[in-house]
Parts: sequence; C-alpha cells; structure tokens
Amino acid sequence: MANLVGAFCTAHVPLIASRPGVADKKQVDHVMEAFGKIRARMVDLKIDTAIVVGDDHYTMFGPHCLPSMLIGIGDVDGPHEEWLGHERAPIANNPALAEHIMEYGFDHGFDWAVAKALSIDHSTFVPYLKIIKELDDVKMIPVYLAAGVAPLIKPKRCVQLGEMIASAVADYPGDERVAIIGTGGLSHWVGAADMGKVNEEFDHEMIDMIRRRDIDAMLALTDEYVLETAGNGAYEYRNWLVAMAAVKDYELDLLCYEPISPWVTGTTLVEFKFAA
Amino acid sequence: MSVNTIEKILWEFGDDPSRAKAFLKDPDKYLAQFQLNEEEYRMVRNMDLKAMDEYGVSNLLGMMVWPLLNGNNQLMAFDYLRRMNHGDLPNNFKLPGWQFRLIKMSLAIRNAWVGALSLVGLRKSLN
Repeated sequence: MANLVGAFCTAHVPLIASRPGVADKKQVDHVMEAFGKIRARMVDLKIDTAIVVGDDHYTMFGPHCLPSMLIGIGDVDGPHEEWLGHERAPIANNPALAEHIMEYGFDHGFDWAVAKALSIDHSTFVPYLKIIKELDDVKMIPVYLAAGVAPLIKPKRCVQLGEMIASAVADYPGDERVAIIGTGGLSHWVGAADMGKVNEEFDHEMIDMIRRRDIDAMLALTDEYVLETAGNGAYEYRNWLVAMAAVKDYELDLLCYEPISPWVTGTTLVEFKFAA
Repeated sequence: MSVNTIEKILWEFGDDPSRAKAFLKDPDKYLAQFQLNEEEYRMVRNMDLKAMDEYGVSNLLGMMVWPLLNGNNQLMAFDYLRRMNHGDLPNNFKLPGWQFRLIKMSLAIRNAWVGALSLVGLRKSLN
C-alpha cells in the first residue's frame, strides 16, 4: 500500500514567484533556506507524490461556480496568473492515485468537485515552483479548498478531509511515498485597507496551536475573529488543518517565521515530523 | 441586483480582459447587460473600490481588476491602497521614509496628470 510519509506547510505568497526581492534580503534568504530544507527532507523521505492543498483567490473559479473542495485528477498546468511572470507549463500529476483519492472520498461522504484538467493558481504553484519542480520525478496532486472566497469551507470539514486523505492513501494498492503540503497565510490582509499589515502576536498564537496539534482550539476560532485579528488571508489556516489532520501524531519543526510586510504576509514554513 | 452581480462583473474582467477593454471604452453600454441598482451602478461605473469594499464585494476582485483597468505599474499597488484608505496612503509595507515619500509624491504627480488629461477629454477617468 502507499504510505503517507511526509507533511509540511508553506506560505504561498505570489511575490515569492514574481518579485521576491521587494522584501528584506535577510528575510527572503531565510524563507528560501526553509524551502531548501523541505526539498532536502522530501529527498530523504524518498517522496514521489505530493498532495498540495491550496485555495483559489477568485482567479480560477468565478461566482458562477465556487467549489468547496476540489481535486485535480488529470492534466495539470500552471500558473494560471500571467502576472506571476512564469510561462504556463505542464505539471506532472499522479492521476491513478488522485482518482483513487477521489473515489475513496465519494465512498466516504466527500462529494468533491473534480477537475479533469486544471490550471493552478499561485497557491499551489508557488510550493510547486520552490519545492517540487526542483526535485526529480515528484508528482503533484492539487487539492483546492474554499479558503479564500466565501462561502468558506468549514474548518471542521477540513479536519475530516485531512483524515480521509490519509486513509485514502493508506488504502491505495501502489507503493507510492506521499507527502501532504498545506499552503497559505498566516496573517495577511489581501486587497484590504490594511494590506501589508502583519499581526505577529496572532501568528505566534497560531504557530503554538499548530505545535500542540490543538485542532480543537483552531476549530474554536470564529471567522469574525480571524478576519478582524489576522485578515482575510488568514482564513487559509483551513489548508493547514488538512495537512495537520492527516498526521495523527507529530513534532513540529518550525523552519522559519518571518513577518514580511512587503510580501503582505506572516510567512511560515514548517514540517510535521511523524512520531516514531 | 446584488454584491453577486458586481462580483460577476469584476471576475469577468479578469477572466476575459477584452471585457475590461469594452467597459473602459463605453462603461454605460457595457453595464447595460447587468442588473444593478442605482448605487451599485455608480460604484462599478466609477470603480469606487472603497464603496465596493464596504458593500461586501470581495477584496480579491478589487485588487485583481484595478491593474487591468489602470495599468500594471510600480505605483499600482500604492494607488490601490490609497483608495482603500479614503485617499490617505499608509506605510503598511514598512518602506524606508525616503522611499515612502517618493512614492507619495509620484502618486500625487501621476494623479494630477491623469486628472488634467481627463479634464481636456484625452483620458476617460474612472473616478
């Protein structure tokens, strides 16, 4: 059977792909070193497939159709946004495993939206660019949640989704070694009057909750509190919940935290190291 | 007539930039295809970012369409932020003082220039 052997979370700030140099060099270097550490761990763990959990920013999906959760089972390319400054190019999926996870979800109460051909936005493209693309033969299964555009997916559902994905991987008859990568925030105000502000206190509280795997505390956060305290971009902790929930027992390795106002984001990368 | 229709209009600009061009060419003709009440029509016709924000329109869309309608240049993000703050530009990006002052001055010159062009009919001003 396939094995879930790695779990990470990373920022997906679009400026990482387009203009990283607008931020302080020391902070940028720290973030890039952390991406390098994730790449090294992916190699150590012999990972061949990464399930990357992102959220649309009203670029891929429009008011006519807003999926709560979506899995890409077929052709993938990216990035969707021309302004990222990267030519759109094919990205290798693992369609057999993706289809298995889709079917397993259908059988266990998860009525995914499904993309047979998907152009990914920066939320999964940035981790692809900085981690997967630089490794040999690692495939990527994109998963998208409604964590940026309302109506938002319920955090509790994200926990259930992470648990289901872990079970689906374990149920797969292949020999894949799989990682799950949650993406996004912490605090950031996207397109709002406070854009550029970073709430370090909130970010550290969130990191502490993640360190303790205190899912109950994260589920107790209200959308109103998160919006007021950490901005609309902080809703993306939903993507992180999926990765956290997929690993029952972990030790957090905080690879970096940088409050980067020019990137408009509290920028964090972590590994969930599996308990022995 | 709702936030949803405004979001549809803005999203379609991003999805098909030729729609943004058609809007810029003749806003009233373009908007005739949508159901908007008087206030919604004014907000979109004038691309009043702050009013749309307060009305509940997604900030993701406001930020996406602003460069489509106004050109994607180095000042765009600051111009957007200024409009979202009732005309006052905060230094949210924590720029050095000299750089922040330079940007504020550049924005003031640019906006005066755009205003002058609009006055003599050489540029269609959105607001």
